[in-house]
Amino acid sequence: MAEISAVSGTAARQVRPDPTGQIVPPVLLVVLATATLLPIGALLVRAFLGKDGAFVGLDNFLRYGAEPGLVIAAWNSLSLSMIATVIAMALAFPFAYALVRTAMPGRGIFRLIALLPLLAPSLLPAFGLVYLFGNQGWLKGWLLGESLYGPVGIILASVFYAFPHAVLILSAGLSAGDQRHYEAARALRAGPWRRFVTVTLPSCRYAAISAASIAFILVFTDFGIPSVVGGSTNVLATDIYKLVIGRFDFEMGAVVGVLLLLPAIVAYAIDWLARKSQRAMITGKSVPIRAERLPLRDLVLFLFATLVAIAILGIIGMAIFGSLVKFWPYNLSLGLQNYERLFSDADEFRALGNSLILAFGTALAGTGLVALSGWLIARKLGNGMIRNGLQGVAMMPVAVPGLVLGLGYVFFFNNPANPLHALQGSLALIILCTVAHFYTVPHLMVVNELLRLDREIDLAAQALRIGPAGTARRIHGSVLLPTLIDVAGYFFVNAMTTVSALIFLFTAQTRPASIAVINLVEGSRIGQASAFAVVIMVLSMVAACIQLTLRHLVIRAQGWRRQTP
Amino acid sequence: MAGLATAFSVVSEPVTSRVAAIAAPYLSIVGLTKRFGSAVVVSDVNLDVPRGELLCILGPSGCGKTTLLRLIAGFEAADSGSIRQAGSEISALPPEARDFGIVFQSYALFPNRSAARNIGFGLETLPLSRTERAARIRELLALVGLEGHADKYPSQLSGGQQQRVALARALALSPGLLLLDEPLSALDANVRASLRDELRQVQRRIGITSIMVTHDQQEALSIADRVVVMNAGRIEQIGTPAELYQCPANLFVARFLGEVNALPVTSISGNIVQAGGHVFRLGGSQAPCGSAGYLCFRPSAVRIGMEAAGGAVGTRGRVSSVAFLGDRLRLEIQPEIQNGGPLVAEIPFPRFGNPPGLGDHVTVSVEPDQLFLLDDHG
Repeated sequence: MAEISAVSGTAARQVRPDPTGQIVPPVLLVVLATATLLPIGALLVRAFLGKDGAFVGLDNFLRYGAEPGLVIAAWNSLSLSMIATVIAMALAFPFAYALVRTAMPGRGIFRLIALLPLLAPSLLPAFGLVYLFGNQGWLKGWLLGESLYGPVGIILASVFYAFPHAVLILSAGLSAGDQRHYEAARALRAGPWRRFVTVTLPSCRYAAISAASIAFILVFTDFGIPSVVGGSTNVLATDIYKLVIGRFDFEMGAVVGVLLLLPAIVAYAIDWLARKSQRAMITGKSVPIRAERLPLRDLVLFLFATLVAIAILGIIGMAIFGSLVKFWPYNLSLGLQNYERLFSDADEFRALGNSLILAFGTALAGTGLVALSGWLIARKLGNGMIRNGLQGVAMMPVAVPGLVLGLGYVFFFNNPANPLHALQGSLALIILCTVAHFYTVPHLMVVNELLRLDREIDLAAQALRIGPAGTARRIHGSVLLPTLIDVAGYFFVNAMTTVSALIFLFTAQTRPASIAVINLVEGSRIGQASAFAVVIMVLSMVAACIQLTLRHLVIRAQGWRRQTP
Repeated sequence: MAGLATAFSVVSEPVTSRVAAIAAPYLSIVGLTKRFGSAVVVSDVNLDVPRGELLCILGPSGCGKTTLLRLIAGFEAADSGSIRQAGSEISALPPEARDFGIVFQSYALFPNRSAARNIGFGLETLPLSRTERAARIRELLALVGLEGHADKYPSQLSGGQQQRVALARALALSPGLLLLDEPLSALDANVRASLRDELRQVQRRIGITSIMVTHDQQEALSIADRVVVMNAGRIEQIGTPAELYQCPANLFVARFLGEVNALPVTSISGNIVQAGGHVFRLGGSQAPCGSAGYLCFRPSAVRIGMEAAGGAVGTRGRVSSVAFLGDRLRLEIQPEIQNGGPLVAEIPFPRFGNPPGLGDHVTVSVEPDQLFLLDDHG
């Protein structure tokens, strides 16, 4: 007892100050601003400059308006994206409802199948569609004489591309209801249909708005799909590429960039508001939803989900099948020649290597940066103004289409006056751009996970004279580890499959596989392009499997997560 | 190094300063003020805490009591005023440079560490050998009665056990001051009472100066050496539990420490007071001060009967509500005079005969020495 009753003589103790909160936030702010804010700023400025760099006001925009072809592209982009969004939502809502609100069998499998397209480049479904409905496709007749190449193809492939994202958001929104609302409705004698209309629909309307906004943005800014099945239908995403790469008209490219950026920002603003309202509806005391068993409804939805699953598997399966066929459509015998060429051709093989370096580099750098920025914000370290700046810069990329970000990088880093000019054309710059492009979602994953940890834990550590860095090492790191594995997986898969931001940045030496797929399409080598897309998908699947396994092992090894007393 | 070593040894001070430290309070707060924007959360607080005392800061939520505690800990910076601990000014120091241990309402245990490693957290930066550290942790576990739970994680411990771990962790570095921020509020009523007594025992045994924030007046009255009642950022009264209960400084303190009948005074002449339409005769001790606005008495001071009791002036009334409290009855009585507000009485459950029932006519009287006169604010 003697030691415990020891009285310390002096109130003040010498401590080594922990400067983490002072040094890290400003440094990180500079890094992230360089990766996001400054390039986008460079693009915005460029839209108002002439070829000679002088300010020309709205001249570029007027020049854009004077070219009828370009204006039509803007209209195409808007109208096709809206149609695709409506169709994707019409399919995703009942699908998500079936997944989380019914007792339909096979929900786990259906969920996996719905999320499968997330692991493939957006081009893969386009290839599947080409084999099914293209000029020499098996089911060409189903299009009633319409050509796949054009609005039909863009809409079909875009629906396919946006569907899993919409399902994810909707099923999250639908599973976040409160069971007591249903019990109250039953006590008031409301039947199943009335309960659906008066409880379910209102409770998920924000999730629906959010899902529609995200679907619209994905489709509106996607480059891969219109470049494969767009035919002669111009959209903004392909125009910006043609203007910059084909005509070297950087100023006009910047104008199209602004046109891509504005609707994206509006849609994300809507999404942000919707999410805020959705959060406000769910209190910590909500009772989780228990799925109800209604045999007829469940059967209908099961049949519907089966059809959707067949379509998804059919389109992906067709892409895989096409990649294995000797010579479509004349020689349908199967072989690996398309794959062999990928590994024998030095350029293609290098592209695969580049993609792996890009994916690993992005996963590594991105996870590190996101862990830092999320930690600083969730644990409220350093100056409040700098923290707000960090949060702003971290939230920005989600509203910026990849094409816009990539073009911004060209403007910003190509400038000889920029001390970072040396990065131009390097794989490091491509990695930085990819990290920036996908920054927001993982950043929020880290913030949300760390926010679940009581703030007073840090104060308790501080009272025991352990500073932020020490607490991060001893406590936060261990709590965050499973989330960081997910974050790394997210960065890896997105870096493997992304096209849009990189289309302006690659060189012959740094070209990644996803771009090589586009180049193969441009060379009309669909078989090889499909093979490459399949390889990318398989690598993504492997990465996802490793991610899930690792996460499972870590959680099992962390005995403290078990609740049993 | 010298600074770290103080955790386990009594630092020898010059004799003069030690004498001074005994005479002077261990913690001395002068003119402490904290604003959030335009709101003054802690307003000109003066407070002395002698060494070894357990002081409770009591007040309704939002009264600034937790902010006061966080100012003492250094989690908030004061706008003005001084805090001296053991003779040195600490108000400008960061928390990690101050000498205190803290226990939070939420326990704030490290979820990824066992009870033992939670307790040992603060010891990790000290130059201790493994065996020394393990011995110290064992000692602390024994202090809070958790010997068998060293290797359990927080999620495997009950709320009471978690709070004991938090207490041991706060004491690990042998701090000079223990801060407790609503440490019992998250616990069930039964656990709360037993942990409250245990907390008091541990505090007495090691003689650590302690400040506990709570909104529960019973908790404060039952374990504190002295209680500080706060309201709207200001200290309303400081005193021992008995002083506060028997001689509240104003109506706020009286009401916060327990239910009270407060009748607005209409006239005083000599020791006869008219209040709320009733007439009362004061005992000798309550010197009526001119501005006294309310005549007050606790529900337990009320006598119910068929006749007015001895010294007090009785008033007749009708029982308008009855609540059974086990060994007592709580009655609300509507006086049979015009404009008289209801009176609350708590009486022992009668052993013989029938207790008063709803609608019964009774007489109400109060012992003269149980009456006190109070102002609205102090």
